[in-house]
Amino acid sequence: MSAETLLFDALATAAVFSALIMVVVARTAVAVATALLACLAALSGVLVLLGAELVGIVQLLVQAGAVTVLLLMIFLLVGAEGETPPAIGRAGTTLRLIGCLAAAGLAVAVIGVAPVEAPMTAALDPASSGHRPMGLALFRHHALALQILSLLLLSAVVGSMTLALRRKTS
Amino acid sequence: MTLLLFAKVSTVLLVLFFALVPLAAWLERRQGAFAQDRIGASRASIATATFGGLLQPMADALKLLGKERVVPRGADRILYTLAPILTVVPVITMVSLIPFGARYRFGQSDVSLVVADIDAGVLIFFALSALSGLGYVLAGWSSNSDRALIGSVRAGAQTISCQMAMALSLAPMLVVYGTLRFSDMGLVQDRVIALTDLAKCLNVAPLPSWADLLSLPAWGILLNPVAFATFMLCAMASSRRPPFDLSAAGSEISGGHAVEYSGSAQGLFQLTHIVQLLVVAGLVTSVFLGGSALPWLSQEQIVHAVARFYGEGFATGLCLLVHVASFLVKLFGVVALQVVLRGSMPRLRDDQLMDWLWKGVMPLAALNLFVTAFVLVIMDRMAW
Repeated sequence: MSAETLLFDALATAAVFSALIMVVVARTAVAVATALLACLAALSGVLVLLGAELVGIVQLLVQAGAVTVLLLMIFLLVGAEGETPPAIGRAGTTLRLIGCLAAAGLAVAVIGVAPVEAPMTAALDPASSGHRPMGLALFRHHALALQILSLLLLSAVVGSMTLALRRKTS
Repeated sequence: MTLLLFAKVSTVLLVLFFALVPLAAWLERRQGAFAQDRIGASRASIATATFGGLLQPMADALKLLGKERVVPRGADRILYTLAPILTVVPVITMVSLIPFGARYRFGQSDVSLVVADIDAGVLIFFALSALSGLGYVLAGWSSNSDRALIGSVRAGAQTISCQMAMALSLAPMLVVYGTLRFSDMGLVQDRVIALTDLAKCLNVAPLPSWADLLSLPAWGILLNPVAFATFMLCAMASSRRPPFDLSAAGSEISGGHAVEYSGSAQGLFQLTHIVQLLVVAGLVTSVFLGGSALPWLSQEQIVHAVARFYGEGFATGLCLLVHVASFLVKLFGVVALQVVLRGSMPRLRDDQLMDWLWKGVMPLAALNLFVTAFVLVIMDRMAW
């Protein structure tokens, strides 16, 4: 087993376990956000291992850094950080059984189709990946999409400011 | 290759923890004390030798390691333990991005004095900076304390605002240098801008012959002083240095996010504070102060001058040492500047900081980016 494969196994296990903690075990919103952070950080590591360094770094920067901080701030400001999830009730046993069956089916499907010793192939050409080729492609071939996206983001910013000011004046 | 990387990481960590951090902590406490007409911490000694208070940071670290860690009742123990680690690890990782020297050729091998010479170093810096900010938010919430929660909310708002302001402030320099790699920025600055070249680019009348002697080092602070000022202040705000330490305001919310931490965990927060001081200084030096380059004396000139007498290997090694010394002098100069700013400006309120960042720095940085790009296009990337 190469070092890359070992590292991939470790990162993938960390991502799966943190996702399980996030969805199954965590009792508070902040714990969910922290588990999400761990999952996203592990996924960014997997992306770097696959040769998509820029995507991995941007994943860490935007998702793990900005989005998770924003989520935590929203939880703290709204006051949902300490809320415990509501009790499931009588349907709890049935729902748990369905969840376990679904997880078992997924595990069988993944183990069945995934080759055990498949070599890790870096499908990306180094000359075509990275920030420079991506920047050139965006501004040369996808400039219109970039401008439309920036207008969309601008409308989101203006909309949130309008809502905030409206709340303040009312 | 692995051995070289291991040697670099070990050297950087040893130098960081046993030389740079104690020196920076000593400088901050001593200079800050002199600014307030005090002597400062100077009691720690070995056989009555105090060395001017240089041993005090070590004594403080040993004291904190020996203190009891008290966990508040009702605290989320897992996140309470994780928070200081999440705060300090990204900051220490950022040190690996800082180039302590240029690239040197010894025979057939190239040696660079940066641990992680990554193509997108600037992006990784922003990613790690955001992760470190998360640690402050988690520390405050998990402590189950009102003041800590206030500090963590302030820290979160500060992180979000500072990240955007820092990115916009640094963008003009990325346009000028044309790279996201910190070591390449140092190489670009290792040259001079002659007045005659500038006159040629601007199509002015030919200058007299004595104008050939007038030249400036191509450092970022001279090329774009507005970017230097905005980035320096935003980086200080992002690292929660006074006067931007509203998340841990000692006289207001009794330490903010770290109020319920003691012992080694408190030591980790204080270590984060000092390492952030060094990281900000290192990045400002790399981007705006020429990195390890000497003004008006490029690496080729040094090696060529010394190699005539002592050979190329010795010349390259001497140049390496000179560059490292130059970088450290500049690094501690910026550290001293941060300490001066700390001692001379009152703490900003959170609404003042948000106003300043969103309504002042960001528009100014965006305008600076536009003007920089406009000038570069007009001058057709003036001769380098």
